Amino acid sequence: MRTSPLRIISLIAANDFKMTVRARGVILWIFAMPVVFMLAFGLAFREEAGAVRKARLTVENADTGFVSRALVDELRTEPFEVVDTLAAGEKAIRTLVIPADFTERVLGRSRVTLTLRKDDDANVQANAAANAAVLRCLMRVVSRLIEVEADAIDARTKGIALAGDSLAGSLLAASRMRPGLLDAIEVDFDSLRAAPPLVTVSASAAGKARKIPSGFQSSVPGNLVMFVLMTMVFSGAVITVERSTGVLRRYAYTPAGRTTILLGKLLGRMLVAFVQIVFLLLVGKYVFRISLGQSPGALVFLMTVFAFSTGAFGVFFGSLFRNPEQVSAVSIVTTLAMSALGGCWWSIELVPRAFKVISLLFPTGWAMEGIHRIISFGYGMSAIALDAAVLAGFGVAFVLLASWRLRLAD
Amino acid sequence: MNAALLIVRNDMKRRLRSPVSVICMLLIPLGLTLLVGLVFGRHGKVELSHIKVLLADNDRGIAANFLKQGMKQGKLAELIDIAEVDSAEGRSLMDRGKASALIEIPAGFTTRILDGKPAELALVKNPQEAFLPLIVEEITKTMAVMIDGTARVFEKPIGEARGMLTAGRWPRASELSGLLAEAKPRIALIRGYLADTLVSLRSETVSEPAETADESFNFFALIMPGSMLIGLLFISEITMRDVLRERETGTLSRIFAGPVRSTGVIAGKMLSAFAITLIACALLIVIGRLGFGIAWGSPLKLFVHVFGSILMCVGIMAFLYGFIRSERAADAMLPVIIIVICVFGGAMFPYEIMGPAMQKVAKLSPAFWVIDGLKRISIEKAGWGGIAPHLAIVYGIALITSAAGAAGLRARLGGGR
Repeated sequence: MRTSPLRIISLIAANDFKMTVRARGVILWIFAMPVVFMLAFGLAFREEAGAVRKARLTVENADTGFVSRALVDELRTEPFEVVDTLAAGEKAIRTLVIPADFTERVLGRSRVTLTLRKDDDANVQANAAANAAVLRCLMRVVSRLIEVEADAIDARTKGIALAGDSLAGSLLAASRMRPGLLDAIEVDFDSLRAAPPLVTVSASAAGKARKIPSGFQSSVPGNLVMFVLMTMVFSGAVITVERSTGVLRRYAYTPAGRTTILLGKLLGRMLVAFVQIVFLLLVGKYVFRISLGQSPGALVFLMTVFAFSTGAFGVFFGSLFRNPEQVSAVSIVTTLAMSALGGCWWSIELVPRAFKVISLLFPTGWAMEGIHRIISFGYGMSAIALDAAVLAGFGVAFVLLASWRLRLAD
Repeated sequence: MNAALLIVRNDMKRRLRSPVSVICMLLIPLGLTLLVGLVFGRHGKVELSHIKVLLADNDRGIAANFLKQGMKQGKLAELIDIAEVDSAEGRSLMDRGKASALIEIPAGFTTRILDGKPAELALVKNPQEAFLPLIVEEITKTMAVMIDGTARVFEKPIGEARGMLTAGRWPRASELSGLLAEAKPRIALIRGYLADTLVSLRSETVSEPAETADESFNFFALIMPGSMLIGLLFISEITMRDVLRERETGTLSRIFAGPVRSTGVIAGKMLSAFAITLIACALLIVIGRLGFGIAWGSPLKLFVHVFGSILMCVGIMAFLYGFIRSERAADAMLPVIIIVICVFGGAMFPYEIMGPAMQKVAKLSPAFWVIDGLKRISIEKAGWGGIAPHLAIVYGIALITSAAGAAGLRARLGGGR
């Protein structure tokens, strides 16, 4: 009686699946470690991403004039926590120093410098945003002041006038000539400032989703891909171990062919990976409260295809080595390299252009791209067709290579 | 004592004959350091490639042109790569994640501004990216403020010019000179701020260490201490595992059949783990110096710190093996414990980029004190005072875990006299 190859594949797969889930170590690596990594990376980068929103700007305003007051008011409209006094023992992270004679110098058209002092370990992104915000606020204040100055010139106010192409005098000079003018200037200035902005910017995200990846939203997909990759690549190491211990040779006594054995092993590991994927996505959704987009089914499908491609890679990898210790260490380094270069560790937008191209040489790069299409953009199955096709292509190529290269015995 | 030394000598010989597992563990820190260095460069500066920005101009007026030209000039031109598209094409490209952001200038943008009515620029950001779209948003907001300010300052002359253009006749000379008279002081006033920089903003960083500001700062020096510790913990783990393996294979019971105390055997095993880890660490330090150009700082401080750190690694492993019954259990538990210690201690990503809460957690991990101490010695060139807390904690943990580990192993192994 001849057993069909499909039945043999499913028997080998079921056996491998059972043996894998019985091993405590494997369970820890498959289920516990990814959660630990998601938590650590998510906590670390959640604070990084929220740094601008929560950033604090201390204002040391030594000036009592209305221009500096206006500048501080403008700063309060920016997404910063503006404080002017610190509690005892509290450290200023970034401080805007406004000199004592700021208003007088601005009104007198004399040069004046504001200082934005940043602590050595202040968040770089928040520092850059603070810099831009202070400049924007300065622009707003200065443009209103120019309006007041222009009105004063138009009204032929004494003490400020145009002499040829350049300006003679200033609002300060004018106010010294006419008592009460300074108060009038302040009133004009405040009324101009009260007018709503003419030009505004409305920001939205492309696609259907509205989640920008940061914190757990970024750490969960990255670690999901990395740990599924580990699960699958280490299946290659298991093949090396089984060959060196003679387990694979015993298969030669069965009616199973090399490719059938290989596919059975691959399917067994894919079943493990499938359980891992579903578990980690549920943890992501219900523990870390991330958005899985509008098509979680597409996400599971994409990750299963990814498991197939990396599992095939793992089996091919296992077919290359004879020493289990070697394959184990090389597997660690390979998975770490593939994860990092594929964009699981850091946002791929930050790496030089060459590395963006390199990321697409690895299944991890395509998986991350597909995940973003589902989670970040909110698309469904049709949007990940290319990513899934490329991953499947990787998988088929590695299966062919592995079945050509695999030897059941040393 | 003789027994301990004999065990060390024997273990060293064995490891030399078959160094594969230790060498493989050495590959982890080297691979990690090399990888991060390759991506972020020796100085660790994230060199942003041009930010791809799509611009859909549905207005084609002066204000839209002002915005476009502003974004194509000076430093912005070096930062931003602008491609003009129509709105539909832009939205379609954004939906495929082909750019960091799309700026849409609505039809009638200029007219609305000239009429003194509010106008809105639409910014569509790539949700796949966390940082680049934020930069574009900051720039667009700043450009909006500039357009707003310019429109307000020139409101009167612009109003007059528009009146002339819509009057249906050639403007009179008096009207033109009046217009110029209106515009001239405003130009002079703006020139004061732009050309003479009447108000400027200076940025300064407080207490920045010279090494980090300096071009000679080596990013590998920031990365390698963490990855090195991962490697050292794993090497201590595989060398201490001999105790378990030899117990399971019966080697230890044969040793105990002779006139040997279990204390001597345990001391020997811990010493050989220490010696092998020390050699591996020395190799990593040499490769760090020659391969990655890391200036490790004072050799004496480095030696004292590394010595304590390796004692600590071996102590932690001895302590853990005191509780572990089998190799399978060790396989399951120890890598997980090592990785957790390392991840939360700042070995996987630098402590410097963690948020305040994670930084507090990091200090609870022994890994932090090893890594931070190494960084202080190599990057900050800290004195003894700067690393005193690190040394105290590292040697303290080493002492406690070694003593507890030795006691635990003795109880587990039994045997001997």
